[in-house]
Amino acid sequence: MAKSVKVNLDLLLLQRKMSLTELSEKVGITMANLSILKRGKGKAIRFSTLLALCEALDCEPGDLLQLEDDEAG
Amino acid sequence: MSPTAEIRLTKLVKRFLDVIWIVLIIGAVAWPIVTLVVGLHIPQDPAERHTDVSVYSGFSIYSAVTDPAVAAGDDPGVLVMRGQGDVLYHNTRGMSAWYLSAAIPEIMGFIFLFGLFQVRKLFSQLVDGAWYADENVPRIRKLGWVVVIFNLVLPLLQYFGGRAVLGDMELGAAGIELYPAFQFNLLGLVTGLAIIILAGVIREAVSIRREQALTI
Repeated sequence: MAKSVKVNLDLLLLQRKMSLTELSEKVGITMANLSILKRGKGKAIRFSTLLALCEALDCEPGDLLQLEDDEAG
Repeated sequence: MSPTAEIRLTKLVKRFLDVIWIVLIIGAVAWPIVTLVVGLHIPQDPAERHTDVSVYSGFSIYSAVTDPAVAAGDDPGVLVMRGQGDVLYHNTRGMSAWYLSAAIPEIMGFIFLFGLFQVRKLFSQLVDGAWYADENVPRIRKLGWVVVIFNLVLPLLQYFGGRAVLGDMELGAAGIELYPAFQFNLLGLVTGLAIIILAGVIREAVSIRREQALTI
């Protein structure tokens, strides 16, 4: 079955009690780009972006990124 | 070249293309009208008919031209000169020749205009900064096909059109041989094919750009 990478931004924001706006200001990434990540529309993520998100959310890359089965697969 | 200079040059080229477009559109509309008007005023009596007809053709000149003794016989003599190109004929016979010789550049003009249309649209996107717009790929591909078709159709029209024109005019003299000719631009044909291939390269660039835009 085909798999894809899911970005658990929603879950982590909820756990850290942080809004998307606050995260955007903390990491210096626009709301639009964070929204792309949140909706799973991103094609790739830079290491620098991943590092900034992990530092802002105080988590590991594995907490943020998760492998999941494609629904359509 | 700096990005600012590139943008300025792009705008300058776009403006130049726009001017050429307007001039050629006016020409494409006016040419058949002028041809028809002049053609309708050509006298019916061949003796009164004096039209200049330009057609791509070949010519061979033999010594019979200058040597009456040779001209009197069947043998045209020694080949003195040979060439081919856009020859201007003083036509006093053919009626169709006038229209045929005008039709050839008109047809080629339409093919050229279609290509120019694609180039203008492409440059409109470039001026707007949309270097990697999806629409650019089919436009570049069409431009390539226009160049290929132009370089295939032109020699065909030159030869067959020229044959019809020369046949209608029935020009001839001792020691002068006229025949249809054509130019085959292999480099132009290969350039067109290269442009079609480049369209594929641009398609990949568009895909990479799209992916980059979604790389956070």
